[in-house]
Amino acid sequence: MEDDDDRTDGTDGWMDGTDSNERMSDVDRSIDRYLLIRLVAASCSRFVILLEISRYRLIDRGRHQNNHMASRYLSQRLRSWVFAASSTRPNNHINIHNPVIISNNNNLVISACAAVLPTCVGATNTVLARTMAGHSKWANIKHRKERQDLVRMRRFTRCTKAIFTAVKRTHGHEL
Amino acid sequence: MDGTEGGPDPKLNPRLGLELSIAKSLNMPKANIDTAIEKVRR
Repeated sequence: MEDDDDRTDGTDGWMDGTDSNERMSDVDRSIDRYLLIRLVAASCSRFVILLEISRYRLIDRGRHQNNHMASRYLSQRLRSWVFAASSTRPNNHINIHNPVIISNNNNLVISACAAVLPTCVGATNTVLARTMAGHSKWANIKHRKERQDLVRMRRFTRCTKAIFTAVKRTHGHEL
Repeated sequence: MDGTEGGPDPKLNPRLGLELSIAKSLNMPKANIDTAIEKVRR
Protein backbone atom coordinates (compact mmCIF):
# COMPACT_ATOMS: atom_id res chain seq x y z
CA MET A 1 0.00 0.00 0.00
CA GLU A 2 1.46 3.31 -1.02
CA ASP A 3 1.46 6.24 1.35
CA ASP A 4 0.94 9.58 -0.34
CA ASP A 5 2.65 11.53 2.40
CA ASP A 6 5.78 9.47 2.30
CA ARG A 7 8.36 11.22 0.12
CA THR A 8 10.79 8.93 -1.57
CA ASP A 9 13.00 11.66 -3.00
CA GLY A 10 14.40 12.65 0.34
CA THR A 11 12.96 16.15 0.31
CA ASP A 12 10.53 17.42 2.85
CA GLY A 13 8.24 19.61 0.82
CA TRP A 14 9.77 22.80 2.20
CA MET A 15 12.69 22.62 -0.11
CA ASP A 16 10.98 21.36 -3.24
CA GLY A 17 8.00 23.64 -2.80
CA THR A 18 5.31 21.01 -3.24
CA ASP A 19 3.55 22.03 -0.04
CA SER A 20 2.24 25.54 -0.58
CA ASN A 21 1.22 25.96 3.06
CA GLU A 22 4.75 25.53 4.30
CA ARG A 23 6.52 27.40 1.61
CA MET A 24 7.24 31.07 2.11
CA SER A 25 7.19 33.37 -0.83
CA ASP A 26 9.18 36.52 -1.18
CA VAL A 27 6.13 38.48 -0.11
CA ASP A 28 5.91 36.48 3.09
CA ARG A 29 9.55 37.09 3.76
CA SER A 30 9.16 40.79 3.26
CA ILE A 31 6.15 40.78 5.53
CA ASP A 32 8.11 38.96 8.17
CA ARG A 33 10.94 41.40 7.86
CA TYR A 34 8.56 44.31 8.10
CA LEU A 35 6.84 42.72 11.05
CA LEU A 36 10.13 42.16 12.77
CA ILE A 37 11.18 45.75 12.36
CA ARG A 38 7.80 47.03 13.44
CA LEU A 39 7.78 44.84 16.51
CA VAL A 40 11.21 45.91 17.54
CA ALA A 41 10.44 49.55 16.88
CA ALA A 42 7.16 49.36 18.75
CA SER A 43 8.57 47.60 21.73
CA CYS A 44 11.83 49.45 21.95
CA SER A 45 11.19 53.02 21.00
CA ARG A 46 14.53 54.13 22.42
CA PHE A 47 16.42 51.83 20.15
CA VAL A 48 18.03 52.54 16.87
CA ILE A 49 17.73 49.68 14.45
CA LEU A 50 20.57 49.05 12.12
CA LEU A 51 19.58 46.64 9.42
CA GLU A 52 22.72 44.98 8.27
CA ILE A 53 23.25 42.40 5.61
CA SER A 54 23.76 39.57 7.99
CA ARG A 55 21.98 40.54 11.16
CA TYR A 56 19.83 42.95 13.03
CA ARG A 57 21.66 44.95 15.58
CA LEU A 58 19.91 46.91 18.25
CA ILE A 59 22.01 49.66 19.72
CA ASP A 60 21.73 52.81 21.76
CA ARG A 61 20.03 51.83 24.93
CA GLY A 62 20.16 55.43 26.06
CA ARG A 63 21.27 56.76 29.36
CA HIS A 64 19.43 54.35 31.56
CA GLN A 65 20.59 54.56 35.11
CA ASN A 66 19.88 50.94 35.72
CA ASN A 67 21.24 48.98 32.83
CA HIS A 68 20.29 45.70 34.35
CA MET A 69 16.64 46.71 34.39
CA ALA A 70 16.94 47.87 30.82
CA SER A 71 18.37 44.51 29.85
CA ARG A 72 15.54 42.71 31.54
CA TYR A 73 13.02 44.94 29.84
CA LEU A 74 14.62 44.32 26.49
CA SER A 75 14.68 40.61 27.14
CA GLN A 76 10.98 40.55 27.93
CA ARG A 77 10.08 42.62 24.92
CA LEU A 78 12.14 40.53 22.56
CA ARG A 79 10.60 37.40 23.97
CA SER A 80 7.17 38.84 23.34
CA TRP A 81 7.84 39.73 19.75
CA VAL A 82 9.35 36.36 19.07
CA PHE A 83 6.08 34.84 20.20
CA ALA A 84 4.15 37.41 18.21
CA ALA A 85 6.09 36.55 15.09
CA SER A 86 5.39 32.89 15.62
CA SER A 87 1.69 33.47 16.17
CA THR A 88 1.35 35.28 12.87
CA ARG A 89 2.44 32.20 11.03
CA PRO A 90 0.47 29.29 12.45
CA ASN A 91 1.41 27.03 9.57
CA ASN A 92 5.04 27.72 9.96
CA HIS A 93 6.93 24.50 10.16
CA ILE A 94 9.53 26.07 12.43
CA ASN A 95 8.98 25.64 16.10
CA ILE A 96 9.68 28.84 17.99
CA HIS A 97 7.48 28.19 20.97
CA ASN A 98 10.41 27.92 23.29
CA PRO A 99 12.74 30.79 22.62
CA VAL A 100 16.04 30.68 24.42
CA ILE A 101 17.44 34.04 25.34
CA ILE A 102 21.04 34.12 26.41
CA SER A 103 21.85 37.35 28.12
CA ASN A 104 24.62 38.98 30.02
CA ASN A 105 25.25 42.57 30.99
CA ASN A 106 25.95 43.85 27.52
CA ASN A 107 24.61 41.42 25.01
CA LEU A 108 21.39 39.66 24.30
CA VAL A 109 21.59 36.80 21.88
CA ILE A 110 18.33 35.24 21.01
CA SER A 111 18.97 31.82 19.72
CA ALA A 112 15.30 31.19 19.19
CA CYS A 113 15.29 33.77 16.47
CA ALA A 114 17.31 31.35 14.45
CA ALA A 115 13.93 29.91 13.66
CA VAL A 116 12.42 33.18 12.55
CA LEU A 117 15.24 35.01 10.98
CA PRO A 118 16.17 32.56 8.21
CA THR A 119 12.86 33.47 6.70
CA CYS A 120 13.59 37.13 7.19
CA VAL A 121 17.22 37.79 6.59
CA GLY A 122 18.46 34.70 4.92
CA ALA A 123 21.45 33.19 6.62
CA THR A 124 21.10 35.05 9.85
CA ASN A 125 20.58 32.84 12.83
CA THR A 126 20.92 35.22 15.74
CA VAL A 127 19.75 38.60 16.81
CA LEU A 128 22.40 40.55 18.60
CA ALA A 129 21.30 43.34 20.86
CA ARG A 130 24.32 45.26 21.98
CA THR A 131 24.38 48.38 24.06
CA MET A 132 26.29 51.40 22.89
CA ALA A 133 29.59 51.98 24.58
CA GLY A 134 30.23 54.96 26.77
CA HIS A 135 26.96 55.00 28.62
CA SER A 136 27.90 53.09 31.69
CA LYS A 137 27.83 55.12 34.86
CA TRP A 138 30.18 52.89 36.79
CA ALA A 139 32.64 52.61 33.95
CA ASN A 140 32.76 56.38 33.76
CA ILE A 141 33.43 56.56 37.50
CA LYS A 142 36.10 53.92 37.13
CA HIS A 143 37.88 55.73 34.35
CA ARG A 144 37.75 59.09 36.14
CA LYS A 145 38.97 57.56 39.37
CA GLU A 146 41.80 55.84 37.56
CA ARG A 147 43.12 59.17 36.33
CA GLN A 148 42.68 60.84 39.71
CA ASP A 149 44.41 58.00 41.53
CA LEU A 150 47.28 58.05 39.07
CA VAL A 151 47.91 61.75 39.65
CA ARG A 152 47.68 61.32 43.41
CA MET A 153 49.97 58.32 43.34
CA ARG A 154 52.63 60.30 41.49
CA ARG A 155 52.41 63.16 43.98
CA PHE A 156 52.69 60.80 46.92
CA THR A 157 55.62 59.02 45.32
CA ARG A 158 57.46 62.31 44.90
CA CYS A 159 56.74 63.24 48.50
CA THR A 160 57.88 59.85 49.73
CA LYS A 161 61.14 60.14 47.85
CA ALA A 162 61.67 63.66 49.22
CA ILE A 163 61.03 62.48 52.77
CA PHE A 164 63.32 59.54 52.18
CA THR A 165 66.08 61.85 51.02
CA ALA A 166 65.54 64.32 53.85
CA VAL A 167 65.79 61.67 56.50
CA LYS A 168 68.76 60.06 54.87
CA ARG A 169 70.89 63.22 54.82
CA THR A 170 72.84 62.05 57.77
CA HIS A 171 76.19 63.81 57.45
CA GLY A 172 77.53 61.61 60.15
CA HIS A 173 74.27 61.41 62.02
CA GLU A 174 73.43 57.87 63.03
CA LEU A 175 70.11 56.57 62.01
CA MET B 1 77.49 71.13 53.11
CA ASP B 2 74.39 73.11 53.85
CA GLY B 3 74.53 72.53 57.56
CA THR B 4 71.32 70.50 57.74
CA GLU B 5 71.33 67.16 59.39
CA GLY B 6 69.19 64.20 58.66
CA GLY B 7 67.06 62.23 61.01
CA PRO B 8 63.49 61.27 61.54
CA ASP B 9 62.69 64.15 63.85
CA PRO B 10 61.28 67.14 61.94
CA LYS B 11 62.27 69.50 64.77
CA LEU B 12 65.91 68.65 64.28
CA ASN B 13 65.62 68.18 60.56
CA PRO B 14 64.16 71.33 58.96
CA ARG B 15 64.24 69.84 55.51
CA LEU B 16 62.14 66.91 56.70
CA GLY B 17 59.77 69.39 58.31
CA LEU B 18 59.44 71.18 54.97
CA GLU B 19 58.73 67.93 53.14
CA LEU B 20 56.22 66.89 55.76
CA SER B 21 54.40 70.18 55.41
CA ILE B 22 54.27 69.69 51.64
CA ALA B 23 52.98 66.16 52.11
CA LYS B 24 50.38 67.43 54.54
CA SER B 25 49.22 70.03 52.06
CA LEU B 26 48.73 67.25 49.49
CA ASN B 27 46.61 65.26 51.95
CA MET B 28 49.12 62.46 52.00
CA PRO B 29 48.15 59.74 54.45
CA LYS B 30 50.09 59.68 57.69
CA ALA B 31 50.71 55.97 57.26
CA ASN B 32 52.62 56.64 54.04
CA ILE B 33 54.79 59.23 55.76
CA ASP B 34 55.52 56.91 58.67
CA THR B 35 56.29 54.09 56.29
CA ALA B 36 58.76 56.25 54.36
CA ILE B 37 60.55 57.31 57.56
CA GLU B 38 60.61 53.81 58.95
CA LYS B 39 61.97 52.46 55.71
CA VAL B 40 65.02 54.73 56.04
CA ARG B 41 65.52 53.85 59.68
CA ARG B 42 65.51 50.18 58.87
